[in-house]
Amino acid sequence: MPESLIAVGKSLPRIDGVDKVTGSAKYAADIRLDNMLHAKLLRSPHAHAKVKGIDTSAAQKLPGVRAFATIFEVPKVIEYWFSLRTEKKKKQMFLRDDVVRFVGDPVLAVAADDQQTIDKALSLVKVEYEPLPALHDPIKAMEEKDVNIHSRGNIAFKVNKVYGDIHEGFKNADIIVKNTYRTSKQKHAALEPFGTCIAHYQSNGKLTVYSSTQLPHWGRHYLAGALNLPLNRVRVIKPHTGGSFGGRCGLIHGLEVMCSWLSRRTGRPVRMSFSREEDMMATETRHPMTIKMKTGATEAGILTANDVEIVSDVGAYGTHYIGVIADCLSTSVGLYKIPNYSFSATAVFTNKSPGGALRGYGNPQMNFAQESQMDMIAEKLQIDPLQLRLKNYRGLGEIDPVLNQEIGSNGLAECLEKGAASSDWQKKRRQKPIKGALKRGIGLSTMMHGTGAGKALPDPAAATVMINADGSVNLVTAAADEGQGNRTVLAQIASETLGIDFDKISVSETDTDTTPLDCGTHGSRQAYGGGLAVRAAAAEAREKLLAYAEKKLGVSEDRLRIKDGVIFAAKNPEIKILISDLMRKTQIEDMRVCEQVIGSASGVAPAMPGYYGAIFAEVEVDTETGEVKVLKLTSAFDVGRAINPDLVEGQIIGGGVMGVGFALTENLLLRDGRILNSSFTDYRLLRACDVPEIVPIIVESNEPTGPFGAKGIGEGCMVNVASAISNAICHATGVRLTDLCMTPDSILQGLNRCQNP
Amino acid sequence: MGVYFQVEEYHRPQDLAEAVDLLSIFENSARVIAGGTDVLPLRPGVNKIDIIHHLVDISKLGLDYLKKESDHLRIGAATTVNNIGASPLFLSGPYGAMSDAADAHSTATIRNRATVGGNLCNASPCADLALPLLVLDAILVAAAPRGKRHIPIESFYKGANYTALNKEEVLLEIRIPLCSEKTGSSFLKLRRHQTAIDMAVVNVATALTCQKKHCKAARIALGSVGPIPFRAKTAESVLAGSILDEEIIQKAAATAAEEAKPIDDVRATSAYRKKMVAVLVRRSLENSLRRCGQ
Amino acid sequence: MKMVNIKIQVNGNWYELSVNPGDRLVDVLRDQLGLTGTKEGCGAGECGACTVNLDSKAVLSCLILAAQTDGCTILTIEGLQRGPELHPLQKAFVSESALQCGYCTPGMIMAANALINTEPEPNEATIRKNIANNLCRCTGYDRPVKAVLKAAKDMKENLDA
Repeated sequence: MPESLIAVGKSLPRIDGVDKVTGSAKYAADIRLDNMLHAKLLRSPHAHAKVKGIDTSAAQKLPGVRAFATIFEVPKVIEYWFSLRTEKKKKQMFLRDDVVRFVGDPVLAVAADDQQTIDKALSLVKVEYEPLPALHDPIKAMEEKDVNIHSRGNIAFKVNKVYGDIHEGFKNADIIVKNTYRTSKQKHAALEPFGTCIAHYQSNGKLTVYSSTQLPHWGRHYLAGALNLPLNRVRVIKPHTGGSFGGRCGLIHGLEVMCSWLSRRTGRPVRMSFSREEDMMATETRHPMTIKMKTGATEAGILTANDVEIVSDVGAYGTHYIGVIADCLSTSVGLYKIPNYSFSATAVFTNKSPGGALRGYGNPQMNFAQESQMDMIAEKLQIDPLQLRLKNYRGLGEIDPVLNQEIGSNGLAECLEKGAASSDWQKKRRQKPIKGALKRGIGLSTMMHGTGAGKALPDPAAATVMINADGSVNLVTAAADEGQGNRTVLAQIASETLGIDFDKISVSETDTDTTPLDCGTHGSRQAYGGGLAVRAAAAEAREKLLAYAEKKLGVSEDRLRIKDGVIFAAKNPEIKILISDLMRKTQIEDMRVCEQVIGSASGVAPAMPGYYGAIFAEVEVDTETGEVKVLKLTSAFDVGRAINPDLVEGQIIGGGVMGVGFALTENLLLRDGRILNSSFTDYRLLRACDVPEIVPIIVESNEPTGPFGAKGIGEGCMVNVASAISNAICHATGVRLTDLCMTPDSILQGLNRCQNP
Repeated sequence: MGVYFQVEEYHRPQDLAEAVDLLSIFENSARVIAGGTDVLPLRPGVNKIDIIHHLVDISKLGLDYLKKESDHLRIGAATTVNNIGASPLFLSGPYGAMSDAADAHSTATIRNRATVGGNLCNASPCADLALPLLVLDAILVAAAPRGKRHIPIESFYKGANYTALNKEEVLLEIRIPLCSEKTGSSFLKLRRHQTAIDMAVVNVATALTCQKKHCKAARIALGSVGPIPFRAKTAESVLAGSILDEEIIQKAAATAAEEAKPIDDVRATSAYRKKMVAVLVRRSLENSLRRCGQ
Repeated sequence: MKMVNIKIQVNGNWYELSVNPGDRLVDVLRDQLGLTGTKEGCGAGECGACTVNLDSKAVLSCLILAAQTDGCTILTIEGLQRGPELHPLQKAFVSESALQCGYCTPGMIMAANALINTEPEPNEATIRKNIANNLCRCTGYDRPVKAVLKAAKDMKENLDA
């Protein structure tokens, strides 16, 4: 490795920045193909119904109407890529039946020449529904025997995991804290609404789909399975994406498969674009959870036992219900050493919009419960909440019992130390309350999140590095950049490994035809897993480059260095050759060779290292109205190594704001399965004048398995915001809230309870 | 993204007379548009396409003006909310509620186009600008084919989204009688966690005319807690003629809360709203008292 | 449906167009003129992704009928750069790492542009107020605000120079 770094650790500008600020970056809705048809879905108005019949005869007569596709023929994708592992499970991925299971569940799709014709056509379609009893409460649905949302019943998944002896654990506890926590149905609300795709089934039998998926290769698998096509005849291209946050993990319910079906039927490109309302009410959300937690600790503040019971609300279909629950277990057990742990979780179907992956997966829900418990334990024992974390976290060298791996890097203590110093924790924690309606408080919370999902799901990563005849480089990767800048980070890793300047590296488009199998972007994995593949591919390319240089210069490889476009002998720098000269000779000039330098790598990352964080939240509560103003978040995160510090800070700040939303303002409200707030008027996102000051602190613990020591950041930065805020509200007012989101009304009621016990 | 409304014919009348003529010709099938910020937005939950037969654009008829005359302030109905917020006419104590309301209405970008006339005629129970006008005894002037009509603001609202304007009438201007210097007014809006743009959970306006702390006249207007914005007259009578101390202000605020008739909806519960009326009225009265004589 | 003829100036060029009475400005910009830099995120004027400058004011192009813009001057993100160099706002958004997914970026830059043109030295609070209609789900607004401050400073220095 070069002595002074040329790319890693530098806040180099993103490779797509100029495209985006000039308006030339093309997102899915900006793409126009010749001869394109428009398509739209007819969605169920019922939360649960059998579709007895569909009559499109009147609609078909409209000029400009080209094709229909119904749920009788088009399958829904109902499992995630874990099920691709066996042929048997793969068949279960695709559901074709006559039932609609949530308000907004697609019934049919129509393709027509223009938008006006579509809307008219849909108004002429007649659907005969037989409404079925709908289940809205997951706890009731769990018990329900007569109404089955799916043929296998309402329980999607159930798991019981025990470590140690839970009874012994509570016997040894001096105090026990017990509570029930409820979390909300949060929506991704990315600026680019979910649900635009263009599918083109060409006459040669090849399907090309433009869609902003996070997982282009798995999307390709799903489409191949749904349409019965071999993989090489399915091409998924991901244009620029306006944010995903986990909601585009694969395909969007009813979008790409329906569009592809219509394109196959008409032979023309078909474009479908959901409205914001369709995004809000009919695409995946976070899994709301009810978490019962009972935690025991000794007087000295050592945790002895944790008993967790979770009911997770899957909604009508769920592709991630297993992973989300597994995440609750692994992040909680991974963070603290609790020798006796009982974890029982049930994922239940209900007739609501589907649950899926949303930044943090199951961790924000679990963390809210766990870190509230920790705060209450600290209060009961009169121990500094910070000290309580230090006493109990699972440290360097210890074995994570869930993931069965040794903890190779852990910067949590440093996060706590730096965060406490920066936020003036000690002083603010001891501050006396001021007179008047406004009360201030400070609270802290910690978290651990896994980098990648390699221990739980197939997690391939791949890259190819090609050095061109002029010394510039093409990096080929299926990394899907949703906004976080992972393609820039991968280019930096390639640059550092090769010793070739960052501005000479071009990154490929995300296109399954030309990029090798990579899981894609999810689970905070790209910098780590994708980065390892890029580093390996670049290392191979560098080796080949130096082998050619050795031949040309007569100096052995290990004595050669690369810098500023030149390969030179370390001891005698005058013995040198320009990379561009060498590559031109090797690739074009020397006609007996004519070989491009190509390095490739494909495989899975060796571990799933945890990354850690501590947030110190300062709030001001208006005790007359219950409003909470978050004044400041001091957010310290251990990312192993910040390949691009600006991009890491961008995640910490952006994730912080999303976390404040999760804590205070964001919740999809339902009545009888119908979402009441499917627009930004009533689904509340924070705006520029609403956000707190956020101080990001980067801690680097140098993960030994990571590329240049890097781990993840993308999700963890929002995981423990809600718990920090809740702990701050408690410090300010004495009110302990156990339900998200924490509305002014709930705080007022809590204050009332405190004053009138 | 999808068609959610269709317009069959768009009309750009050259003057007010032509506009009013169009409305009377097309009657129920004509709608008026100025800034468009209430007419055009996609409304969630509405599946049918909104078909507008005749859209009459009144944004360029010279109805945007702010004038001070000998006994009135005159605001053209097509004056943008931003212009109201920026105007020095409303910065002083008596009319402070107007600039408070303009600032709290929505974002700077929306306020570039949104008009005071639109806010009033849309007649949402949460309409921000209606409240200062209620406490300032405003008169609305409407134009019809047969001439002008003066409507006191208290008679303007008939029900949710329903005003006293006839189908062929256009709102021309709003007149605010000049107040004595010893008047102070204030407007407050409670949003959800004070996020920057929101329909009010509760909004209130108050105006006090006082000599030292002796209250000559009191006005309290409540929004978002009934089908129309209205004056809390029982609460007003608690204050009129009294010395304005902490106790009497609390009493008036509590009385105003009793006069409120809020509902539960996706933004808040009626119980919460009732409590917040008391808090906001008290705070607004304290502001108005401070602004008396400023 | 009676078509409406309008004459509008977009990014310095005059266009004579025939539009549907119900066509919004965002529809005409994106579909008729191919200027897809202006985005649509909600159709209700709440997300700000469709922000353009109309006669120098920041407006939401999804809440304006094209028919209403006859005779007006419109500036979109594509028209901001004059000549070979990026506009100071564009440069600052790149240098301050003020964008991530980029979907809100054109709208936010246009809102900031209108602000700087009326108030050359806005402070942070004023900037936040004037981009309050521009939702961003990625950045948390911190870097965009810093970028606008930097651009305003650079533009003032260029004027003074």
